[in-house]
Amino acid sequence: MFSEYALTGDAFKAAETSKRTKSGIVPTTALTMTQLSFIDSIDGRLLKAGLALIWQPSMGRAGHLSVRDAKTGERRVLLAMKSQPEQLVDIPPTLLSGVIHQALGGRALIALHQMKVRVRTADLVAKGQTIGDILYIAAGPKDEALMWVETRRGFESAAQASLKKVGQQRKKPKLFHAFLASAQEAAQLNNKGFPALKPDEPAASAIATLHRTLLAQMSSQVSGTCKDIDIEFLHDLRVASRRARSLLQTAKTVLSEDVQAYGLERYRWVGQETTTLRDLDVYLHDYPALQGALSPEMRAALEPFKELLKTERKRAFRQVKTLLTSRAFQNFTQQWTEYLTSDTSFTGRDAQTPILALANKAIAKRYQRICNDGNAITDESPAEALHDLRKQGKKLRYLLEFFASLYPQDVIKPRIASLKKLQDLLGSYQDCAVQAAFLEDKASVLRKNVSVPADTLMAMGALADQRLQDEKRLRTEFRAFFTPFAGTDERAAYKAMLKRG
Amino acid sequence: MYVFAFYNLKGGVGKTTTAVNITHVASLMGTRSLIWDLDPQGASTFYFGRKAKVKGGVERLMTKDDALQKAIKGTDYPNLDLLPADFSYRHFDDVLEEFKSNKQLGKLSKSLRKDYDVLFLDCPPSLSHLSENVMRAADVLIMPMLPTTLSLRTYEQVSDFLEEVKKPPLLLPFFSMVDRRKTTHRSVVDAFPKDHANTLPTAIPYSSILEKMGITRAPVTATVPKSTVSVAYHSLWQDIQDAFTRAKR
Repeated sequence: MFSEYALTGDAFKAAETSKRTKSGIVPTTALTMTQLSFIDSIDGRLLKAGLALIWQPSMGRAGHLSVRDAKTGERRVLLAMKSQPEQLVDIPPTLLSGVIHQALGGRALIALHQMKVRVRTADLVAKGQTIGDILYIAAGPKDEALMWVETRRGFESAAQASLKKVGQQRKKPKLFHAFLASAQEAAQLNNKGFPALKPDEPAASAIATLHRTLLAQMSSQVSGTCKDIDIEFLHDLRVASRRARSLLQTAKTVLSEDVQAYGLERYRWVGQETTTLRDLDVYLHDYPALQGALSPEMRAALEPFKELLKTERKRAFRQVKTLLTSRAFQNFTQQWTEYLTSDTSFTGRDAQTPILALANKAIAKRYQRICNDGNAITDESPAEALHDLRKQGKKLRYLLEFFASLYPQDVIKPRIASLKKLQDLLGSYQDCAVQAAFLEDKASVLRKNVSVPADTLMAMGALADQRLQDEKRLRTEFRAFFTPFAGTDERAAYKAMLKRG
Repeated sequence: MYVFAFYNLKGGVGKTTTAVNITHVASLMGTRSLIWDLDPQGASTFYFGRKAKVKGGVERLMTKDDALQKAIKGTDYPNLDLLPADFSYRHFDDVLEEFKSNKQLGKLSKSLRKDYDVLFLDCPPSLSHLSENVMRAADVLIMPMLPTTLSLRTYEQVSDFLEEVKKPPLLLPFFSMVDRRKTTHRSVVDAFPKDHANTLPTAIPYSSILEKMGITRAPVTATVPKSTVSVAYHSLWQDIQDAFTRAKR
């Protein structure tokens, strides 16, 4: 059983010393300043699965990981570990790790939130038997003293009787829940969410809020990207950067020209410098599927291609790490933060326009443009026309997400879902074209190496052909996906949403 | 939840010592472990420093819905709980007899599923109604053996008995209390696995440290974690898991 006790008076003093108390509290470690860390994927997947992982450092890098029930704080497993886990493989296999594995979906583990506290561990002893583990904690601005007590099964009443004089048992573990709430907040922020905007809020204030969120989302991925433990960190960093660029273009009449130009140029720079690594990550991640698409006898021949990808990835990773740890990148985030807090940055003609009016206008304009561009596409239109349409769709998607809080959820969610269907098709279509070109490009690199067998080049050629065939097939499906998106019902739904909003 | 039983028809072969240490090693690895001391002597309960007492005895345990849950006691070790022994366990067979089925123990243990990864059963040395229940409930039967001729005979007896069980557990024999200075021990330990591929590769050496468990009332894997015998128990737990994983496949 897990419980939280608020300590008072003498009990507080007793906890400060290392003496055994009459209540049977036997300190096992000295009082030390430490950081309790809430461990989860960056987007809080374990929390969603009802698990709370808390890391408590002990000596050096070693420490204890407790796996708890997120609702009650109840400890389900305690693991002594040599270092803070960064991936699922670092956690010893237990039945719970199956649940963790499913919830994590391959994402790395990070410290989602940290709490600086003074702690000491102790045993709760009664009649010579250890009946509970105690973690004495002094935390918060007033250095509030409390204990987390994990009572051994079957000794609940004995523990309660022993601890009655020490402090007051809280009905709910307040500190644990506060810690949990902070972690949830961090996860929500990292989970590409945006704060709620007020419809009549001046555009300047709303756009600044959105930009600050995007900058925080991008910055939160830097450490994970540099550690190279999960390729999704870089992906999320790039998504935040791309969204920021899109927002800058949408709100060009809100920011001053020079600030907008600075933001666009720097975010474009981040995007360009990280594209190669992201592409290689995707190809390496999809390699088993790529290889599986070949006939069994051709599969082994693809190995030199994989080796080439790995070599190029190493180089690309070094470049990205250099970029993200560079003075130039730090200057950009600092400078951008300053711009976002300065009134002089928001001097565009729409700075004081209510954000809802600006959002309505931007969404209507973008939706109309997609309808016009899509309707103009015929069977003879070049592939670029579909690629451009995808870019427009992406911009509309970002707009719907930035401003989602301004519209009723039951209205905006179906709009996002409907757009997503079209975007999925256009995304697959573009992927085919890009992959075919990528395979041909890499084959030309390998061709220069005499030790690479001809079978490898043939296998890559076969894959490129497959992609081009897929591209052709997807092209024929375009109209079936586009028509509902641009049809009467969807148009009416957009009209009603923007009118109501 | 899986059920791992430590069993041998013969007494004094190291069942309880193995059960206590393996359960502790499993808990160290993060396995939520519960050990049920089924032996009325209560040696496992003693080693874990708890009282061999269950309210209402075996009859209440087997008949009242929540009696099993309520009887569980935490130990000094995280992730490790104990279902203590009780002197009334000497009547286990009589109580089980009333159910006219060999599945009662298995049925009962299902209520523990959500709380534990593995239920370890420390069984008394007999071939009884209780043993039959254990064999129906267990996924794995871990069988410690002394490297002596007499001990090997019991292996054949247990093995024959399992052939009569409908869904028999995975039988994993291993040698304990091995003194490699003795020629007989060496030859038995080397020869037996040639005919019995299911033998676990790790053998537990004879050690005076194990005898001190009665004084420290704690697993050697907790009191002398770096000793040869503790290392052997870690290795044995790994062998058990590997064999079980292979069998599941």
